[in-house]
Amino acid sequence: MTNRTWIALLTMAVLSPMGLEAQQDPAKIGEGAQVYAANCARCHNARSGTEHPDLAWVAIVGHMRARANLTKTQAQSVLAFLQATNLPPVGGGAAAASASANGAASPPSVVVPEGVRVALLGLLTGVPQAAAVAALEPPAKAAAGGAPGGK
Amino acid sequence: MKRTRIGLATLAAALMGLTAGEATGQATSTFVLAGYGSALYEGATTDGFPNNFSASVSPVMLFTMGDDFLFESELEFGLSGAATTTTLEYAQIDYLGFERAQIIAGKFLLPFGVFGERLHPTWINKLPTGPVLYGHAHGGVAEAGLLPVLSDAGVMLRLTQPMGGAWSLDFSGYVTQGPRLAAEEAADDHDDEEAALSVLAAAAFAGSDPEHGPETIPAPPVAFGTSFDDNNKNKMVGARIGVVKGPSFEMYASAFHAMYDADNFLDYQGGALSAEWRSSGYELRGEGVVTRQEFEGGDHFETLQRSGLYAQVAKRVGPWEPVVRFGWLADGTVDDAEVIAGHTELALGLDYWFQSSIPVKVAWEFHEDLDDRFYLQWAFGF
Ligand code: HEC
Repeated sequence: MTNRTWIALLTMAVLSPMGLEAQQDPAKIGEGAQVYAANCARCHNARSGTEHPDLAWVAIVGHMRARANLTKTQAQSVLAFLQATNLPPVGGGAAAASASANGAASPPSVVVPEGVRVALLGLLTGVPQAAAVAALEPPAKAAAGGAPGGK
Repeated sequence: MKRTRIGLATLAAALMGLTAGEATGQATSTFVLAGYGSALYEGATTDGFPNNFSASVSPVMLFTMGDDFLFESELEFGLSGAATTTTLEYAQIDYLGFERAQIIAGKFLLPFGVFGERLHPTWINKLPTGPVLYGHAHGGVAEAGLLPVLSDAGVMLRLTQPMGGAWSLDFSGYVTQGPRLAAEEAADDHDDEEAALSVLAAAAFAGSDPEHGPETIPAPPVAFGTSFDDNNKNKMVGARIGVVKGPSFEMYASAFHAMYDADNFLDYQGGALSAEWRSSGYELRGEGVVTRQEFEGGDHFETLQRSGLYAQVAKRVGPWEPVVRFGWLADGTVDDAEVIAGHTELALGLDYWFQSSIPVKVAWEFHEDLDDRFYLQWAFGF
C-alpha cells in the first residue's frame, strides 16, 4: 500500500465514526464537489452539507434532482459529496448535534475547521484543493454570516 | 513500525467493517420535513391600503423508497378572514431511476418560465413580493397579474442532456388538466353565486385603477389547478426547453396550450422566455410572458392578448444583498384595441442574510397610478 492509501484509510476510520463516508468512492466525492459548485447555487444560495444528516440528504438530493434536471450520476455524486462534507465535528456527541443544529452559523472553531476538511477531502479524493475549496466556499462563507452564497 | 501500521490498518478496517453494514444496507426509506415560513409587514403611504402583519408556513414533505422513488408534497397555510386556508401546492411521485429522464405524476408546479417553479418560496425570492407579472398569486387564480404561480395535476417528463463542460440541455414536458373558468370553479366548490362573483371581482382587480374603479375585463378569468374535476376533455399540453451552463448562465423558452370552456372550444395559450446570468456576486434575471385567451364576444369569438415582463438585478456584498426589480404589464388588447390598462412597477429592496436560507428583506415598491408600498419580511427556509 502506498503512504497515501494508508493515510486515507486512517483518516476515514478516525473521522467517520458513522462509517458512511468509508464506503464512498473518493472520485465520486470529487465529481460531486464539481456538480455542487455548478448547480447548487443556481436557484438559491448554496446550502451547506452540515445542515442535514446523511439520510436526509438522500431525500433532498432527490428533490433537487427533480427541480434541477440533474442526471442520476450527478445526483449520486453530489449526494456523496454532501455526505462527506457533513463529517461530524471533533468531539462528536452533543457537540456534533449542536453544531449541526446551528448549521452554518456555528463559529468555525466548534466544528472541524473547514481548512482541515478541505485538506482531507483533497487528500481523499485527489481533487485539487482549490476546486474543493471553491465547492466548499459558499456554505463556509455563509457560515461566517458572510459572503455571496456561491453566486 | 510495520507492525504498528498493520495494527492501525486492521483497526481502520474493523471500524469501517463495523459500520459498513449500516451504510450499504438497502434501508433507504427516508422521511424529511422541509419547507419554509415567513413573517411579513406590509404598509402603504395612504389610508385605505393594507397596513398588516401576516405570516405563512409551507411545510414540504419528502419520502424516499429505495434509490428511485421520491414522493414530495407541499402545503401552504395562510389565513383568509377568520378561516385558515390550505393550498395543496404540489403532491407528486417522482421516478428517478433513469439516468437522464425523470417521470413525475401528481400535482406539480408547472415548468412554465422559471419564477413559479423555482423562485417563489419566500427564502428564495429576493423580494417580499412576486413580480407584477405573477401578481399576488392566490389559489390558482391571478389576482393582480397575468398568471398565478402555476401548479396543476397531470404527468410530466423531464430530460437532461449533458453537453460537455458545465453545459446541458434541459427539457420538461407535461400534460395536465388545464385551466377552467374561475367562476364555474368557485360555484362548484361553494355552491353559491357569491363565491363565484368574489373570484370574478378579485380577478378584475388585474386592471383596477383606484381613481376610476375596476375595469371590466372582457374575457372571463380562468383558474389553474384549483380542483381535480376537469370541466372538459381537453388537456393542457406544455413544455419548457432550455440550455444551462451552471452556475453562470441559463436560458429557457416555455409554452402551453389548453382549452378552458366546457365545450372544448376556447383556446388559452401562453409563452415565456426566461434568462439568468450570475457572476462575481451579481445575479441578473428576466422573464417575459405572453398569453392569448379566446372568448365569446357577443356573436363572434375574440382574443384577449396580454403580455408582461420583469427584470431583476441583485448583488451580494457580504451578508447584504441589494435588489432592484422592474416589472411591466402591457395594455391588454382585443383586436389591437386597449381593453386593460398596462402597469409598471419598480421595486427596491435590501436583504440581510443571517444564513443561506434566512433573509430579512426590506423593500419599497413604486407603482404607476397606485400607492407605493413598503414591505418588511423575515423568511426562513428549513
Ligand atoms: C432548479 C432550481 C434549483 C437548483 C438547481 C437547486 N435547488 Fe435546492 N431548492 C429549489 C427550490 C425551488 C427549493 C424549495 C422547494 C420547496 O419549498 O418546494 C429548494 C430547496 C432546497 C433545500 C431545502 C430542503 C428542500 O428539499 O426543500 C435544500 C437543502 C436544497 N434546496 C439544496 C440544494 C442542493 C444541495 C442543490 C444542488 C444539488 C440544489 N438545492 C439545487 C431549487 C433548486
